[in-house]
Amino acid sequence: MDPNDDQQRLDERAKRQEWRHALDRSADLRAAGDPTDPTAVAATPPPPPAAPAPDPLAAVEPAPFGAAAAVPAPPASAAEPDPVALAQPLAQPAHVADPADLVLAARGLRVAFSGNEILHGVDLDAPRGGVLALVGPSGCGKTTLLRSINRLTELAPTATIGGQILFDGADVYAGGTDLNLLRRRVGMVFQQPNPFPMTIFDNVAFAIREQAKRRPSRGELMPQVADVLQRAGLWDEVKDNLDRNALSLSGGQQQRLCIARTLAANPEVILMDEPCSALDPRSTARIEELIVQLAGSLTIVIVTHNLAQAKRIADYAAYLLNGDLIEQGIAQQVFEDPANQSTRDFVAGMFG
Amino acid sequence: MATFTRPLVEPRPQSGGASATRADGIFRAVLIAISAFMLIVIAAITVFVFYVGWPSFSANGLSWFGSGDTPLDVELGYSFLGDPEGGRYTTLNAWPALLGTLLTTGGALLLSFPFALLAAIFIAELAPKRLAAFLDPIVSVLAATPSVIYGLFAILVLAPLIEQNLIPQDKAEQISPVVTLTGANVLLGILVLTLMIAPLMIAIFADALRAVPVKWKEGAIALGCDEWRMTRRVSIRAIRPALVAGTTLAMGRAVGEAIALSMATGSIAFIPNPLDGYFFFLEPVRSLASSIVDYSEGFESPELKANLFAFGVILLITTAALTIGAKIASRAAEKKLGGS
Repeated sequence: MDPNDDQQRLDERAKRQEWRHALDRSADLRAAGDPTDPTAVAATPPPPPAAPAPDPLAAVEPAPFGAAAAVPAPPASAAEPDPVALAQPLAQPAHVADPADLVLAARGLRVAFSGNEILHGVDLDAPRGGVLALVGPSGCGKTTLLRSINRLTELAPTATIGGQILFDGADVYAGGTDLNLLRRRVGMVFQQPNPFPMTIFDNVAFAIREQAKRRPSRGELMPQVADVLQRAGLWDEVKDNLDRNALSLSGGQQQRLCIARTLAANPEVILMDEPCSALDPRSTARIEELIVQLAGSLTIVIVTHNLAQAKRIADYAAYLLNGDLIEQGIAQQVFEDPANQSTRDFVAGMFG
Repeated sequence: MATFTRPLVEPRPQSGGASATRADGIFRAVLIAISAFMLIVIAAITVFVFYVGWPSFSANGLSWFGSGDTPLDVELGYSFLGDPEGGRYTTLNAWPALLGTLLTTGGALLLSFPFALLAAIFIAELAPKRLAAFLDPIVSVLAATPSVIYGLFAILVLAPLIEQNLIPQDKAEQISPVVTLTGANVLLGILVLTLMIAPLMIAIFADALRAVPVKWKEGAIALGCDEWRMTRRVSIRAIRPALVAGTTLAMGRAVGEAIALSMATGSIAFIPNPLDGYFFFLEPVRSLASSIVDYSEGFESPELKANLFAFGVILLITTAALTIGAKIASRAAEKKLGGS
């Protein structure tokens, strides 16, 4: 990894975050200062009746355990150290002024597998454009939350799902949702690079062929295939050998191929489930670079276990703990000045 | 200074290591001996079959593979020395038996492959877990059922059905001077072979489908494929090597099948006439393997023995070629698809 490149990217990132921060600062202040502000209320999902909207000032203070009505008892897992003083979840995200700017939102999302609840009513806001990082310790439900967005969770027969996921304002769990269309508009990149056992070309052309009415010829496909491979930063490495077996690529190349394959479906949102955890640092750096580039034209929701990575690439961040969304907002704020004690401990590296 | 009561690395016990090596050596020697023995047995069988069958090929030349006017049954016994009653010398023309094997095996493969693939998809992908758990052992039992059982089922259950429903009386009478039409015919041979090899193919295909990594399936679904298209475009593509291997294995079993076919095909060395329309499939045949079974009591006649061993040579070559061909094809498919 070239340290100069890294530094430059970090600078760009910081600038961009500052800019967003400034844009949203007014909304922040409004929300914090005046709870009756109509703008703030519009941005605020109605808090669950069990947890009355917390006083924004009180939210900063770690509340005593018993007072946190909305926080369910931590699971009886001995392996998971009881995180320091579970605090009240921040009921409302203050970083988005206009609900129309949300491309994705979870409202009271509950997911259970075989009756074991993984998500306890999560309200997540994903602003349009940029990178939203979902962070939290293992087992906190980040991946389940991510996979619930494009309705992959229900592939597990034991899963039960409640609540809403709003994509462009429409509930994807409403009846009559075209799942295939949803999954084309909300693409996904997985933790393990999973190119299909076919040529590089066929991998990229997969989604295009899938969406085409009749079978397009190779010549017709080529411009699109070349375009998405270029956007995924893989073109120069594979352009002479598109008929090579995709599985013969290196892990990092395979993951970029998967990103290209997802891009070929022309999605508005890409969900990424720890896309770099199986890769070496050099490949990770390339993918991070790619994510930042792509975030200019679409929205990326990324689950990451790597806090440093989240800090490098995220515009927004959401922190989950034991199935509850504890805090979300502008990445810089969540990482540098979190409102919640638990978040503070997590970003300080005290657990997770 | 800290002292360790035990060394940090246990020294490997010298004697134990040496004896382990010796045990390995013995084990390896035994394995090599067993493999060598197997190879020698196979080689001996091959040499023996070729040796006994060779006179049949050398005496008949290329016309061995052709067809002639004399009934195959006559040719099998008298082809070298001529008719003992002073009749004319006949050539062995084995085409009827070759055709019998080709027709029954080919028909069974055409019928069972799509059926087995769909059944495997159903069992491996679509069926509820409980149903699949119920079907799985049934398929295994069917795949392992002795072929004579299928033969019995064919002549006792299917043959009367075919005879009563598919063969009109007038047509049978019209054709009777040439050949007697019964329920045992090409069609029944194909059906019984299909019954035999389809479970084998289903078992192999279903296992392969189950082994397709979930990440590929999820990848396809996440790209907006429904389950059927995911299966068609990713799973079936991924199991191509297994498709080749399973089909070849089934083909080998079908080519070599003797008893069930002998029961089901009518076992008359007749050449079905394509001009008879669908009656083509209602005329009897006799495959190479069935011929060997049917005449296995006549080995005192050296001509018959040589001729039947020549049939055996063809079967040996075919199955060996199939096995090797399948290895090559499935390796090529794996290479192309990178079945890692």
